[in-house]
Amino acid sequence: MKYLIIFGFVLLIDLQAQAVDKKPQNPCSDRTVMFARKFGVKALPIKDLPRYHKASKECLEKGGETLIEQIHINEYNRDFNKSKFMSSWTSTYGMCVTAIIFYFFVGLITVEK
Amino acid sequence: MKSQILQFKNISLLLLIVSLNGQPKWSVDLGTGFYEPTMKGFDSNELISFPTGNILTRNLLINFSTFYEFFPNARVGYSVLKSIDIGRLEGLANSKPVFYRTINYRMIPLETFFRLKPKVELNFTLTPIWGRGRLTLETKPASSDGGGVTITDDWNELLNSFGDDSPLNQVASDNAMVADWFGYSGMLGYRYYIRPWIGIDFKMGFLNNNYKKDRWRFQGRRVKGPDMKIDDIPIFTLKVVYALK
Repeated sequence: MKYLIIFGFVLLIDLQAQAVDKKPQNPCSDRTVMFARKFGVKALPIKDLPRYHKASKECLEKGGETLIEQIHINEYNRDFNKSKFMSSWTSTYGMCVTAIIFYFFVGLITVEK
Repeated sequence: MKSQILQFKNISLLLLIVSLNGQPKWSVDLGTGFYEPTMKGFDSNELISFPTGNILTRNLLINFSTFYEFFPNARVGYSVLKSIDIGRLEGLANSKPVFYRTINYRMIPLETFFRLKPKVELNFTLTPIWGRGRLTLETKPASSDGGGVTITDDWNELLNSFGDDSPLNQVASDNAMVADWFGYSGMLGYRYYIRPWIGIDFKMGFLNNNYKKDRWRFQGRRVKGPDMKIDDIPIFTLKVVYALK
């Protein structure tokens, strides 16, 4: 029993050491930050979001403002470019909504007068 | 005819590929709405003095939504605008029951958008509404001791104030009256992204509800509810949007 407890204790220390070792020294090279750099923050799985936010905060503290800023700019531009796709189709819907709302407010003003 | 079928096939294939390759995006929104309904049944009631209406209970709405971006510039979702009022009914003869009133405007919005600038988005929403009003009285059992006033009397007094004529003989434990109606809404929105995944969204538009005061239900019986004008009203919402994925 004594040996079993000692073995378990050693195993726990070893596992803990491995877990600590897994964490990269530089938070800017964390796998979530690397992933966000390539595909954007919104492409990260939900369970990785807290890790990304923690890593990006630590990265900012260690002087990685340019990297984090670049991730944001890339994502803004990606969304901006993607929203243009087939926009002529969806803008028809947009025009219909605008016309309905315009008609509603014109009706509201003229009826009250 | 052959070429039309081919064209249809190509368009269908294109739409399928786009929806498969498009990065799916889920987002949740939390915010407030502002509108100005006329609630004559509560504010100008001659028989019962309802809790005094204020900006929180009459004009402000709590808004919660979730959206799925199924196309690069279109999303569909589920949204709820909720109005709440709580207070004590002082006007009833002996008992002073606690009164709850909720109005839920449940919507399934279809929204398209485009980005004016990388951080600025304009969006256009049309949605059907499934509205539900709910009135609850929490009468103390002790009220039946003083002067023989029962829960049924409290409910009948409330319904009389809405123009009904003591329609209840007995009230079971489920003590809420409910009304459902349909409507539609259209909104124009402006969204500013403060982070690629967080945005502030401002919308303006209208609500049109087909509410009828005669369509309330209480324990399987049709009763009269309060007079409310909730059709053709302008509405404004302000919310924070968080994109999850």
